[in-house]
Amino acid sequence: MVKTVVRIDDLRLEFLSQAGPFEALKGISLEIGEGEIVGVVGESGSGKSVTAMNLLQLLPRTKINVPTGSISVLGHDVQAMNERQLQAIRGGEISMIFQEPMTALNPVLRVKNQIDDVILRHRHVTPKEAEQISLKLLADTKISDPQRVYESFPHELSGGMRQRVMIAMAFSCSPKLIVADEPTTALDVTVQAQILDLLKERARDTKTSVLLITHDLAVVAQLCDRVYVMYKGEFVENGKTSDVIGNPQHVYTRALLNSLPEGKAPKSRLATVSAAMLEGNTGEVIDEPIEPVTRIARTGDTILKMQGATVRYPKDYNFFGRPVSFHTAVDHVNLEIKEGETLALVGESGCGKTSLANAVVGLNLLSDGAILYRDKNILDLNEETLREIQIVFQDPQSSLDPRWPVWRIMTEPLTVGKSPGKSELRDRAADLCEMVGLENSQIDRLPHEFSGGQRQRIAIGRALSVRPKLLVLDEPTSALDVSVQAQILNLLLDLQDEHGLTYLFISHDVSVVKHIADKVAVMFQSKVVEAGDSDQVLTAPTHEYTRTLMNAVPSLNRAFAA
Amino acid sequence: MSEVKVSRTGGLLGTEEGKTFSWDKVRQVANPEIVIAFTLFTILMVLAVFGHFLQTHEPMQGDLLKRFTPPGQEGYLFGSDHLGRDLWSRMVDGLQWSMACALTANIINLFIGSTLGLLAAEKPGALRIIVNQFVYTLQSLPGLIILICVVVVVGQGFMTLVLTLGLLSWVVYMRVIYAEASSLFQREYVQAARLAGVSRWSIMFNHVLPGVRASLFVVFAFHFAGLLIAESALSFLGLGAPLGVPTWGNMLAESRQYMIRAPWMLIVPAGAIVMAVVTMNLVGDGVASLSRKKGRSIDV
Amino acid sequence: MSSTAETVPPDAQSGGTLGSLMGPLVPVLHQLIRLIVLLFTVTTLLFFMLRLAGDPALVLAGNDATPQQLEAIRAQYGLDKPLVIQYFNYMGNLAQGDFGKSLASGEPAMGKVLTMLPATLLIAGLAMAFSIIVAIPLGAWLGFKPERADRRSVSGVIFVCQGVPGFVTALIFIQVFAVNLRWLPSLGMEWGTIIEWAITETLSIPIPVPSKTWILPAASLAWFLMPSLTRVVAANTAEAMREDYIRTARAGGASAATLLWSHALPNALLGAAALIGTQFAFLMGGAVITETIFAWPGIGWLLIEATQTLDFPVVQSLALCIATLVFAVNALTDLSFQFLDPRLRTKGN
Repeated sequence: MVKTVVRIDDLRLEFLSQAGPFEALKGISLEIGEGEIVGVVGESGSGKSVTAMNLLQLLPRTKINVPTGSISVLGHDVQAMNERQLQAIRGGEISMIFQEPMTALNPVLRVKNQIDDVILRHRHVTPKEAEQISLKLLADTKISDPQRVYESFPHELSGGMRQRVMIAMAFSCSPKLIVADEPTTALDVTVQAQILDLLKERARDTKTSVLLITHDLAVVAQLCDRVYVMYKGEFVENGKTSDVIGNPQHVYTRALLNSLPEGKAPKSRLATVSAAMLEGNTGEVIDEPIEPVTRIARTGDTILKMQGATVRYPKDYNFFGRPVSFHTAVDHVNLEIKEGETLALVGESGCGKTSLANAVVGLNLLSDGAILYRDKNILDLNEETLREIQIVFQDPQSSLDPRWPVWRIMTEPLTVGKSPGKSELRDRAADLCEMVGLENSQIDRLPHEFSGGQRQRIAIGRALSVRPKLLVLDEPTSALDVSVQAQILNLLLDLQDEHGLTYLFISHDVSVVKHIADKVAVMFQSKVVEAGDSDQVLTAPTHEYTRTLMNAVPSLNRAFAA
Repeated sequence: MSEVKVSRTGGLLGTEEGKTFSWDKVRQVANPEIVIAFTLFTILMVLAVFGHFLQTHEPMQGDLLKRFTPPGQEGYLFGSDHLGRDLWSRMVDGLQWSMACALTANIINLFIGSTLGLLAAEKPGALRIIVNQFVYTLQSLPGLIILICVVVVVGQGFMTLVLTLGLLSWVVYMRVIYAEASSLFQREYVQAARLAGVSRWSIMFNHVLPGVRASLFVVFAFHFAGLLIAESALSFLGLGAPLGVPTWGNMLAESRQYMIRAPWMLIVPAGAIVMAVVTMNLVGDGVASLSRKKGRSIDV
Repeated sequence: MSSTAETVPPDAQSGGTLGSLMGPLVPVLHQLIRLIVLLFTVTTLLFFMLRLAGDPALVLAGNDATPQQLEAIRAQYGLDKPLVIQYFNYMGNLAQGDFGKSLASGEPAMGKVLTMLPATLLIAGLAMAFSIIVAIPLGAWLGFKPERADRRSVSGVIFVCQGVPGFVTALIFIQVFAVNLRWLPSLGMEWGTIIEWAITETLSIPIPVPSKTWILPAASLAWFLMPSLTRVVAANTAEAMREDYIRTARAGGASAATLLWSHALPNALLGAAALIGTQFAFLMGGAVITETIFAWPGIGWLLIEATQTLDFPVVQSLALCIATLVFAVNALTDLSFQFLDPRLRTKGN
């Protein structure tokens, strides 16, 4: 008989605001047994973080209302406890790991103070002993140099290192339960894999229960014994991880799994969670993919060529403000893209892929080498030809002017050098909306009235307005939920087929790249370490780094194979 | 927490935002501070525009028999001064003088400061270096000291005061606009516009200027308060308004000899300055909080 | 995101060797050059602004001077030469450390300023210390739970206080404390007091300070800084309380006091330190009015006197002196950042 560590019963929770209450949790029930790793998976806005925060009563009590439901953590009725009683169990019996390792540690305090503080608060030890415990904990998280990390300030550590510190802190008082809220989302895949392994190992060793909050089904598959699928403040399905993922019962779970590119035929259209379902209606819930019929023949001419492309940034300046040392972001890259093809540039943060993308569109100047568009240096191109290269940025929030209506945003490039009438522009905007799958009645709205996926459609529409030949897509789906990502990927594939577009696709996500790209170039520490046909590079990598990368990617199939 | 925000504002089709005026909307934005700011501002404006109709006495004409009349007696709402002049009417005159002076100077400041700020923010170059050095210099010398030097030399009077304030105290605009415009020029939508070949003037007027507009309003209100203080301080020191003109600064200066006999001579102009300054500060705070509510960032 | 401007064009990559040679001296030299450029611009700006606006000979000669007398005075002070020549002469003298003589009294201008400086530094220092001592705890208290009714009402009072100009405060202080309550003497300051005070402070010999004249000027000057400093500390504390690391600390069981004093406040003080640097110039402006009102013989009082007599060498020396002071305070603030903010500390190494 497994002891129950957490039991939530029919919990409802509302946020109070001037505009009226907003129901975040609509009667959820959850149970975690001793030593169990339980996942809660859901998309943004589903209420999964609220669930986690509420376990430790970290939400401001004056701003929430709990009409029904009970929460029992380790036998405590946390909702009835006052702040002082809660402080005694927070960090002691229950601890938490947060998403953002960059901001979750206090920047002005040493790691030492932050860990020791927790230990001294909950365990009856001397400061000297606390130091010994801390160092042991840091060593347990496989930090090679615990003494140095212990003495460091957070900004002196890498993201992965900080997350290890967070884990050491969470385990510091031998808690019975750890709540991990998206613990690896902000990390690179190779680091993510290490941190997930570490978390699992530490939890198993110490028989600690873990509640893992994530948006990533593959992470759940890799780590969790049981999983709860959350949608709009409700658990729509729960059960053993292998059952839920292998044989999903609820339509939403099925839709979510179908929208993942992993395991689907490359360039096939992905199923998406239907708009009707997202609006809360019942009925048809999965939009079955429609395969396109028309395909434009590809000429196969080389459209873009990078010859020893190099980008350097000044790092240190001398007395007169002249740079003396440089950081090389892109180091002698040679690549070629053929018309109608998709070349994916894949790599982890800081590898130089965005610098290269910016150089292609002219936002960065090359320090060395050249980029040729149809055999002409991009620096020598005239305005008209330059406009054949357009870019779509990662964050659809910041890439649209918040004060402009959609029709103005989409047609801004058309006003260059001429002044077409308003009605002409609006007609064109309506056409573009149709092209990118927005309703043309929405052209008078402002960006904030749209969801993230729709904003990305607007950004794509703007890029298409000048009929470009080459689109640079800088992580176009990484700020989006998986079901929305599927929609955008479908759209990109459709557009490519209809208009014969060429894509330079920048991404850190191998499964997305595998799905959309013809050719792949892997970037590591400013250099392209491997390039070639997508299936060849990604299934039979030759370079050491590519292999590490491929093994680190969380994968549903691999999780079950193991 | 942030998750909740996303789902509230960005449902699939977005929130419906009507464009028509409604009292519900007013009630939503009207917190007590904004109501107070609005009321005080209205009073200030009414006095500034229609003050002449509300004066009970000729502000320059005294009645030596009625010197030092305490407030509320013999028809003197706020009492009378050492020459038997009506303090209420003089205060209204002072309000009009101060408002006119601060408003004109503020508009000049706004144009100089934001133009230089925008141009310096757009790209690095000689202009940025010169403007920044100039601002750095002006910041290292207290504004009041420069004003005193210039006013003493140039002489007293409305126009000289307005021009001095107008030409020398635009640094705050330059700083705020420079900081904000610099970040706007780095935004992705500006970069996208550049890539599409949109001209620099079009980017400046259509993307960047609307982006800093909210901050301009906020700075305008706070700076207005600052100019009111500077103007009355200069007059108080005998450097701003010519002697005898009923301004708050002059009234305060006159009150100093009669502190024991007629404290209201101090209280009336002091109260007027405080009210005007607090009102403009409240308006600035109100505009800042309103634009924050709309989700636009402000850096003042 | 990097813009075009930040990337390196091919030709800019040959680094200078000079920078690496000077090593640790570079920041010091850098500050020194900034100071010299600053003083140069201050002097130039003021020189032309003042000279273009008025003729000091008129003041020197008095109202009923004949044109011949005027000419003589102009020749005596070199005012008859073209403005540009005067400018170069003046700058040349400055470079040799000659700040000119006071047109009114004939004393060396800078000497006159320096004798007045301690009185100003006394009240400015007191005002600053007083503001900081009050503002930090008060601001922390306000920012910790800003939505509470008691904090909101105190914030309201401070907001109104911020709207009361310093010189109005000074007048009200005089009215209340000196006129109505007769607690403190309001006007004047005897040099003996300063000297006694200085001896008490520097040598730690207890000499009773007979006069309390400095209290009101210092208090009114503090009014220039305290409300805004309190508001900044409060706003920064409130902001720090919303940061992720506060959530981490709460999840670790930290008490309210720990959250405020050891997590939020150290971060909030970074913003406050920046304000103190920039507000010092403002405080010096306040000193002008405060000193005039209290007839306090400091450099602010001297400034009013010197400008009214168009005593340009004194005004110029004053401006140089104040600019250097402001610069020094800003440099000190920068330095204190190095201690307060560990992120900057490692950057410097």
